[in-house]
Amino acid sequence: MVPVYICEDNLQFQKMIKREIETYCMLQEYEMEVVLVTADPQELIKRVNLNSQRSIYFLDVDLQHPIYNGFDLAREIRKADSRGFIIFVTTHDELAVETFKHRIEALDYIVKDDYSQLVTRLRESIDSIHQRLIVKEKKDAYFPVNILGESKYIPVDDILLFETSGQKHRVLLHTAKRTIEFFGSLGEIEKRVGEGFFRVHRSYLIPLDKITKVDFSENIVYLLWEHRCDLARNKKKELKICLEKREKNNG
Amino acid sequence: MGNLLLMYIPAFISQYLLIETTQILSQKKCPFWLKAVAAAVIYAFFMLAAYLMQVLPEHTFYWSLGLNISSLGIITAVFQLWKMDSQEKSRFFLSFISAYIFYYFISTCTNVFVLIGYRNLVVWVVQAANLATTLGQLLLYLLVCKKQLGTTYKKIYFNAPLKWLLFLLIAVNFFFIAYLLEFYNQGFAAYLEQIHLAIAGEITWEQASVIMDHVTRDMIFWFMVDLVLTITLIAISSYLVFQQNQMSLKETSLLYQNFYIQKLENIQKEMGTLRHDYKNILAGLYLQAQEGDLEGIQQFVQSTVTKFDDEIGRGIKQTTQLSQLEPSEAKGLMISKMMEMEGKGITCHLEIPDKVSKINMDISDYLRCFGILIDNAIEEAEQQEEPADRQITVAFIQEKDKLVFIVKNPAFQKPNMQKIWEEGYSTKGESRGTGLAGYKNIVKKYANAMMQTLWEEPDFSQILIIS
Repeated sequence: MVPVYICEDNLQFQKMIKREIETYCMLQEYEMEVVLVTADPQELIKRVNLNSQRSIYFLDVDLQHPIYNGFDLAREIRKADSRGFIIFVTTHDELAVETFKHRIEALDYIVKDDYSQLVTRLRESIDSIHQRLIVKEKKDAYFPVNILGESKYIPVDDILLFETSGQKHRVLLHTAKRTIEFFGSLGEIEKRVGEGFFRVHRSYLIPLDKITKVDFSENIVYLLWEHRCDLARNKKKELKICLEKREKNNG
Repeated sequence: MGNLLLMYIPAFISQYLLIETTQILSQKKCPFWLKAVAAAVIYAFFMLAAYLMQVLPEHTFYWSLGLNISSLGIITAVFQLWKMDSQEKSRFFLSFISAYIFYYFISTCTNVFVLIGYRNLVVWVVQAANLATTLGQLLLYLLVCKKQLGTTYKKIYFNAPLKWLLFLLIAVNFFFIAYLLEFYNQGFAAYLEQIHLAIAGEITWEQASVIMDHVTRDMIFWFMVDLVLTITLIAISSYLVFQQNQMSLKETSLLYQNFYIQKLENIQKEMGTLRHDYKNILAGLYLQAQEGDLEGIQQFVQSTVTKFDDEIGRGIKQTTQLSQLEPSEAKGLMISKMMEMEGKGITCHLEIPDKVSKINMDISDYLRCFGILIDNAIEEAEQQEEPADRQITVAFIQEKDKLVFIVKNPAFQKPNMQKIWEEGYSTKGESRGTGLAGYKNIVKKYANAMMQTLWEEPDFSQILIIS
């Protein structure tokens, strides 16, 4: 069972959220369980620190608490449970959605002014958590990226392409939905990611399993999601061998 | 040999410093060896011009003008003028020519001493003059480095009338330098003639020195004229820069005030209609309550109160958020973009949770970056058919050590995340989309700026992090 925590200072909403989650999980037969409903953020933090499991949190942004607001609380939670799912429940006028999303990597935010929407949004976010829990990273490998002092972890399986971004020491990492720029060099990254990646060109490093087609006459490698890159002439032979080897292993 | 080294090395170094100063003022990049080669070539041209002046002194003016132009040509080639856009080009010209003028000022100053030295028949004075030129040049170079004049130059370049004033200054000086050189050459000739005559005993030293004094006075006079003219022009232009800065500050605050007043008026209007209606509304509610029509009441509250809250809430929120953004240029840009969005029926959510007091980028650069990103978002939002989808979120998030700038617009179709960066690519057909390539070019100049893009259905975000 995945534990669910609710922190909300309005008792009416507290009850309502709990009821909604419990009935919906029962209905869908999701493996989730509400373990704590509270208005006191400190109580929640205590409980989270005791628990080491990846959990789900529904937090009110504007908690009537002298020390913690929802944002501080989320930060505390992140310290103990870095991969937990945080969902903010908020009223309309305190919407600083982008900021919250950016700072906490919150999964979702739900506006509680609109009752009918609130229920559907609650259900949607539970669905999406459930989806993520069953997919559960096939490969549990992450590629750490340091962006001006802040670390981000990109699932290696998502990476489509590393590209030098024109200027020295700058690398662009492409995934299907994201482009991230950071300082680094392809040579050093090549060493770090190891097998499964291939340096097709001075300025491109790609994962072999994302290749969809290679045009050996035009020297272009096609990747998933309409990404593409150049192929260096002196790498042609090596790439062919690598691909054949893969095919043999797979077949 | 020692004499020769003393002659040439300082002269060469001062040519090199001239290029170096140009580079700093124009903020362009160039490898060291290329600069050294260019300095050597310019120096060779310099020697050639000097030789030609000796051989054909009657054309001195043209030789000197030719020298000016050929140095300009060489430096242009070194910095690859053809690869610059028009703005960079003008900035480059301005930088080079002002560095050149400084250089000539210093060397003319020292040349006056050369003349005085000749008069007293002191030979080493030529070397001393060369050395002094180089030292002056070095001083200028250090000054430019220290004071970060490069950024000031950029500011000048965004001010059109000032630009033309500076071009005038440059043109005047270009010809003045050529003219002065001719004058000096004649001065030299006159000096030498007098000295020869005195040595030959045809005139006395007293007579010679009277004539030489006369020539010196003339030369110093013309030099002074040029100096005064240039200083006046520089003073006028710096005054204009100052004035312009003050003006833009005033303009922004005026714009902000207007925006604020307009928002307040809207809120007032909204309140007015509500007040006008509230008796009717309450009566209606009362009736519905009496009939026990709970659903009707719920619906009613939903539709009026939330809508009211939305409209007024947003107005108030936007203005309070804006006051958190302190750099007046950024504030001005945001206000004008928000007005543009309002005009196009796009809802803008602005988020500035904490005070933003400084943006660690050149003003003109960050304005261009923000402008490009917001313009792209506007273009994309405009395309949306549902008015409810025409929404843009702009966030300035100040973290402890960095500023995160986010622009988010709806994009139901996944854009090709790799292609958007290519020049000329756009989701909106041909001949657009030069914006992002320009944005990329600016960001890569800064080691403290990193960009990110993110597509989270149904939104596309551009993120710029500046530390």
